[in-house]
Amino acid sequence: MSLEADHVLRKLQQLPITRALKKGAVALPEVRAPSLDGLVMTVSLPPPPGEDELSGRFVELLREHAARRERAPGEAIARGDELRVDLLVYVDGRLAPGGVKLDYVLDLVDDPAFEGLLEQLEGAPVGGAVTASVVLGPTHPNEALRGARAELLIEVLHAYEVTPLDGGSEAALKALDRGATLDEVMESIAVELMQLGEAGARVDAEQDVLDEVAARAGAEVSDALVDEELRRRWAVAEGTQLSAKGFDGEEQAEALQSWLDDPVAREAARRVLRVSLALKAIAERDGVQPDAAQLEEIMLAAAAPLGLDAAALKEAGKADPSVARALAEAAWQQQLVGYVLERAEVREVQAAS
Amino acid sequence: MTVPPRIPPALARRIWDAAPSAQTVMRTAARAANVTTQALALRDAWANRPRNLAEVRAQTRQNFRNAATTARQGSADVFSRGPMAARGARIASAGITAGNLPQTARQAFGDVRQALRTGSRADIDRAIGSSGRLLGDTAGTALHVTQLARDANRYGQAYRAARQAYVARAPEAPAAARSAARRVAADTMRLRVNDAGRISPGAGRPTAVQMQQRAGEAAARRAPAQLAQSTAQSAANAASRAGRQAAVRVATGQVARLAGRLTPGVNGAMFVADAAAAYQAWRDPNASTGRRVTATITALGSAAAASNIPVVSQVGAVVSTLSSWVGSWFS
Repeated sequence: MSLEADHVLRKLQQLPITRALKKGAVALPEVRAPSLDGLVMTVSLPPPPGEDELSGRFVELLREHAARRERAPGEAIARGDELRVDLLVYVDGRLAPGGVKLDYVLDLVDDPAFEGLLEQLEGAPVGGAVTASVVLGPTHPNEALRGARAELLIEVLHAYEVTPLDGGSEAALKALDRGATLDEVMESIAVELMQLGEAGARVDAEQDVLDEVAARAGAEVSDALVDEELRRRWAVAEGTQLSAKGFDGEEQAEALQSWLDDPVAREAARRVLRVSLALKAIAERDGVQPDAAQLEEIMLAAAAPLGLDAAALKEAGKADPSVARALAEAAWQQQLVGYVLERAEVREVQAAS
Repeated sequence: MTVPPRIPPALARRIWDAAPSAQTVMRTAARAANVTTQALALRDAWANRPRNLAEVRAQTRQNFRNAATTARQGSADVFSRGPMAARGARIASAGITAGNLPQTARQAFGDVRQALRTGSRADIDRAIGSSGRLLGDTAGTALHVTQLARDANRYGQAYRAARQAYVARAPEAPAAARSAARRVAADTMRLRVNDAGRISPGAGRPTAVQMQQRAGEAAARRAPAQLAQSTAQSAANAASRAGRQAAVRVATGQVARLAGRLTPGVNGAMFVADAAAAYQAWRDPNASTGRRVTATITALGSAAAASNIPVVSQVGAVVSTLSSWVGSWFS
């Protein structure tokens, strides 16, 4: 955990709500190491992309490669702009689940999930704060909120005027750099989507194996432990930013509470804890030790997509020992995950849809 | 006869308070598209201009509390104040000049936020209730929640959401692009259908790699070399260490992109939240390298195996050899 997150947590701990939640030290339950016999990893490969998906991704690529002009502070934003906003969603006076989005990329286009938002946002100045009263429409992903009125608080941090490429032009094909003809471009998109889908299916299959292992271990994870895990996650994901943006303690506590109250988040945290406890027990039973070569390999593989090399990691770790520890713990956890997965038989099936 | 709408007095005062001067407000209002509404707001702002800041703040909060109480009592008038408040705050920001903008806007933002933080929990409970709360505390509910959590935290779910988003945008594509998409989709589907339902231990079925080969060497060259290699490796030996690392690389790249899509008003997968946090850390110019690395590693662990660096490891699971390895590697 970072120093900033620690600071936010310390501040929160002084609040009544936090004190009420925290009842003494969190105890770890006893877990017996599960058997690793007969594990099966079933990779359910998604169907290949259809015409609409390819076309839609093509449209998105045209926008990704569009010419962008950043609007000046105070300039009015317009339909079609790409915005970077801080956004809060309140329903009936309370932060909605998932209602804090900071530095969020919002395309100012009509979206039936947020009825009336476009009209109320259009024309607002860059740097301004806007409240919009919208109805969450039938396509909003949170079923339970569909039809509800939500108050959105939106601070427009940046706005970009976007001029998408003309999809029919030679220039567009050149800019996309995915082939000389539209067919070649579409094939490259198909390959890209299939690669992502297959890799994702593999990751999901790994989760299933780990769930099975956790179920065999049968760890009982207490509510207090789940609270503690969620608090830490919240501090990293939201707390630090909310604090930096001047949200007072009460508001932060409210945001945290929306995490603690969410049964899906609780269940997800519980799963993670169960898996971790099982891995720990397996390591102890089988005498698995940190393997220097593997740890290094895992850390470098993880850092590479972000342009970090060994030197950058070492520098960060030296500057802040908590970073070094977090890195090593993450790599160790991954080593243990690999240890378990290597014992699973892999099967691939085609998903129905 | 139509009664002209009124900005709630306390908010009107807030608008006035946020504006640096009457002249600025007037100029902005004159430029604004919706002159009528803004003029009404200005009228109310002037009529209710503050004499005493403390009084204004107290009244603003009380005003919203009253509205919330009305809402709870089921009045039809529930949110008639909502849209007005919305416009009011919009004007408040419009009336601010670029020069003094950041501080003033933030102040106004904070005040409106405070005002909104009242009301019943009914809708929030309803929002999260779909995941179990309203269904009662039964075994069935517990199962339901487990299932929801499992689904919510699946990469496949995020992938499907992304695909739906693409489908929604398809009509915007030019006709020629759609024809090309149709041809390629049919081709791809044919490959899959030939192999439908086959269960195999790895390589041998049509994959992205095979698609790539079919698409010709030129396309293969253009596709990111690392991705192609990763997929080939994991297809050949998915459970191996090399395969795992491939999954880490591929999954995190896409997860970071998907993180930006998560719709406000819905709690997404934990790995998406972690990826979003990492994304924030990288964009924040004030974030230390340490915070960036930590957030990133958290996201990586989360995406690759749904097993993060949880509280467990911080409570004492770290074996001593790991500590000594940390000591030597980072020295």
